Amino acid sequence: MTGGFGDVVAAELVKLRTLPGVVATLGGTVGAAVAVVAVTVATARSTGEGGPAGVDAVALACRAVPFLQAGPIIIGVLGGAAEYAGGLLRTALVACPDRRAVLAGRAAAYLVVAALTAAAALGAGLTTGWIAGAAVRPVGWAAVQVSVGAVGYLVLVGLLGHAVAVVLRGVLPGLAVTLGLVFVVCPVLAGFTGVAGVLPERAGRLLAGASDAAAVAVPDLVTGLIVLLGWIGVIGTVAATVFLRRDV
Amino acid sequence: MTAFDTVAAEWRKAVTLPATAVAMAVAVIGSVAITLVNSVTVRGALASGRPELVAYTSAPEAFFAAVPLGTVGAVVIGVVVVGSEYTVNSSDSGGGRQITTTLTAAPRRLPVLAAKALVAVGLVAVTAGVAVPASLALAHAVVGGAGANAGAAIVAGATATADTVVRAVGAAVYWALTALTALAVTVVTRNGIVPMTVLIVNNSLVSLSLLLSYVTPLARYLPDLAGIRLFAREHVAFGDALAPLAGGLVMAAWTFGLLAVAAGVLHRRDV
Repeated sequence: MTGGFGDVVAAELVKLRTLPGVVATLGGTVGAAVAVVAVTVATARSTGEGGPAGVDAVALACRAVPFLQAGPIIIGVLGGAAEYAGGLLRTALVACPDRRAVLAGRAAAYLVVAALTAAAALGAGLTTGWIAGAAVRPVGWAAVQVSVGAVGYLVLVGLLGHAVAVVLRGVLPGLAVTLGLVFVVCPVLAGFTGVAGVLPERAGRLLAGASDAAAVAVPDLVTGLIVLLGWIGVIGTVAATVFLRRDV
Repeated sequence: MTAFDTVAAEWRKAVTLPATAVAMAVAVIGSVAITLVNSVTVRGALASGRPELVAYTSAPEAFFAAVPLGTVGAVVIGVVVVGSEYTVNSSDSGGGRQITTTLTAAPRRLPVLAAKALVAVGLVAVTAGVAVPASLALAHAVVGGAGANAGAAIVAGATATADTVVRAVGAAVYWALTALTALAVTVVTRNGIVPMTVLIVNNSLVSLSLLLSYVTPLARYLPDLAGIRLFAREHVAFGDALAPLAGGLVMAAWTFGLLAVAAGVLHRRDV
């Protein structure tokens, strides 16, 4: 590829957005946000909590974040490993032999698609909550911070899956490891041990507006962000090393 | 090819997949590791005289809280047994899929599906046969006789042991039914992404089934919630679950219903 890094990112974006799994995941994540917020509202009404009127729509949408994590993880894993099926990666590296550019371009393309997916899902959840009667307060710094944090968390947890998939060179292994870590290992360990504060899912949850300090087990948002970035940094470094040095 | 040959061939294919070994290792090592962590935490709480710090104080519960790790392994086994057939090979080897070779060697599709189901159950049985006794023995070794839960305090020694054995078998049955569900859905989707994501997420604490259970009591008839009492007792987030036997039968009905759909699809669809 004779163009610059922009061309690499553009090529990776075209490849990513034309994967049927990515399009389906985007739609599924938005649908899941609507469904989870709707069910949460129905639950509040059926249990006599007075319905959603007393709940801020942003907070209501953020309650869907734990359910939405699967979306960016699938996109990240597909972006990181889909090209290993059928040897497509070799074609990509013939077109652009600079592996560092390919790796960075794929990560950049993932970040764009995942950010759009997370923002669309949060927006859909917010709209569903508003239609259901949740309180819509004037846009303040706190609401912006929580919304950006939720999108950021979803993007980062998917980036973790992206790095895992590059290391494992497979969509299904990448999915199994990342989903198992985020959805099973972290919650199971968090309830019983003192290691909860260094688990990526627990640490990152403060970004998405989780208010239960005992549940997330990190003292503050910055610490949580550092822990989550630490996980991504370590696994990402391993991924970059093996991608640059390994035969495809 | 006889039925035995078909099962033997499917067994050999499955056990030589790296993903199968990883899934079994995750189920065994993960269950044992989480049980160890839980047991050490329980022992620490008991030793400090503050049992209220933990959700339970019995040794078996330290393992049964780790059952979701085994479920992840079971899901992966169910997915890869079928999903590997549909994975596109390298262009160096023609870019084909193994399913065409399989159905050339064994053209009768339903026996192939039955053999794959048997193999998945067998692999889960082997996994559970190692993970469950090892985890329970470890939990007893770490927690010892100091721990007891409310249920175990009421029923005397032999009955409590029998209850633990029944729940241990129930955990293995839950894993096997989950693996078969994953297998059936993978036959329909011809891709492991959907079953792996849905089943792993739905077996976690952010289960959509669990969320639905707050809205409608009918949610307890969903397969994962129906079967949860096969191994779980009072320490579950879902308080309106079916009784163990009834729940197990409902989960089995879902599983065999999905397998029937998978059989119909595999029988009639072009590969």
